[in-house]
Amino acid sequence: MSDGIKYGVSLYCFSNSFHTRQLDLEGCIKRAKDIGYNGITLVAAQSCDEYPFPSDEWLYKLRDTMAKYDVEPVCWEAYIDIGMRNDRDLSEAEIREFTMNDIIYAHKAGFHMVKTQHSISPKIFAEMLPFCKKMDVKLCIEMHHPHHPEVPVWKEYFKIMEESDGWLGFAPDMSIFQHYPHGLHIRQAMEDPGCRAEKVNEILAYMAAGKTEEETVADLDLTDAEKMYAGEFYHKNTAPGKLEDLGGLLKYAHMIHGKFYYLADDQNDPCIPYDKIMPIIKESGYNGYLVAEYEGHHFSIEEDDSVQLHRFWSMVKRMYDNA
Amino acid sequence: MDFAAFNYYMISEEDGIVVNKVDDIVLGYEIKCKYPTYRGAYLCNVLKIQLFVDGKEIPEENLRFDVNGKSFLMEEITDQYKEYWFTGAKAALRVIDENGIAPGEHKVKMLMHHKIPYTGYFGTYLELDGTCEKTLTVK
Repeated sequence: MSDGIKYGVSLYCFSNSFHTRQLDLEGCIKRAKDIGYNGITLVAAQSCDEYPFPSDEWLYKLRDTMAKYDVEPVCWEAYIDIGMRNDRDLSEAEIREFTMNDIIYAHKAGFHMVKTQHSISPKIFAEMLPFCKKMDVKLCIEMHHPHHPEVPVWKEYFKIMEESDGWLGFAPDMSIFQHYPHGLHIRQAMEDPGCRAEKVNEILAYMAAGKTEEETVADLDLTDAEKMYAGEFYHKNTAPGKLEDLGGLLKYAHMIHGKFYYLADDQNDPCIPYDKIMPIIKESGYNGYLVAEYEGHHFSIEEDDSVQLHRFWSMVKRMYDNA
Repeated sequence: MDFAAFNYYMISEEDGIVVNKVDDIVLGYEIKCKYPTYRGAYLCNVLKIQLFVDGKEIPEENLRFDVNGKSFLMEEITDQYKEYWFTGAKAALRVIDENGIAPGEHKVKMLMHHKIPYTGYFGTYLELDGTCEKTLTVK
């Protein structure tokens, strides 16, 4: 029986506070709990100062800190840093080793889920099944913009998930439904000395009217900086995922990444259509975590991540409850 | 522009410029810098660093990069795939210059060309150019 959705947070949301040491790792966990989130994920490459080889001491301390604040360890978020060397991409043996290490670290820290990335390859993803069972850790691949369910390799991944009895899955990042520039990106363009505010508004109006990038650039007599932002606005907001596919795919979802960049209030996100997404999630019966993933820190260091997280929770919860 | 906001943190203002000396013998000076994204980096993914002081570029052979208790020539950096420069951790960018640097304020500009190692969605990696310029005071 479904108990409904659960709300978690990635400590990645506190990137700015962590980078500047306003919050340490324990401070991030405490802040997440104070805001009201009960589940935690973390990006190991960001949060672990012994990365990529954390000691038992570090991992057990993380586990104990999460217990201290009574938050559920939801997911150890790993990367496949396939380009971490400059002379070649990682070999199969190296990808396998990093993945197994992450599964071991996750288990030690109390997580029963590891998130990996698309470049793990179908072969290695499938090979991980026995180790996942042995370690009692599920493994999911993040589906992130610009990927989407129609990218050929994902057909293979879904087949592997189907045959894994729930151990192998995916973590759809709602960036795949991103269709309109977020407020911080628009502000960046507005503040660029090479951009005229009225032209930025015209670009946005063209996007909202469904015009293509080519039509926009051809019609609007833009400066080089304006053309660059027009290109970014279109490139980042292609919404490659189809909302009508989401509900059917959620049976493979171990968690959902609630990506957002900036919320001016708790009413609506003009960038990612949570007003449509939350009812789909509810109707599907999905009862895992929606993990808030604030990413405005890529664009601005002036926003308060805690305020953004309050708004997100309030918005998605209302949309879910009212659906 | 994505990944741009943390460029501001690349040069540490609070650490200023410190003159490196042995007794009274001046060896040069250094600034502190941070990797300008939300996560840490395999050091080799820092593909190029340039430092300008008062508008003048410091030749690469006069620069050293110190992190994790180790020191690297600039030409060594792109080989360091076992060295992890942690999120927000300060590294020293050291200038070898027997003349040191005059007391007071100086304009310091740092450029970094770097690679995001997990981004090869359709076969190509995102490579970024970060710039940070600040006025620093000699301590």
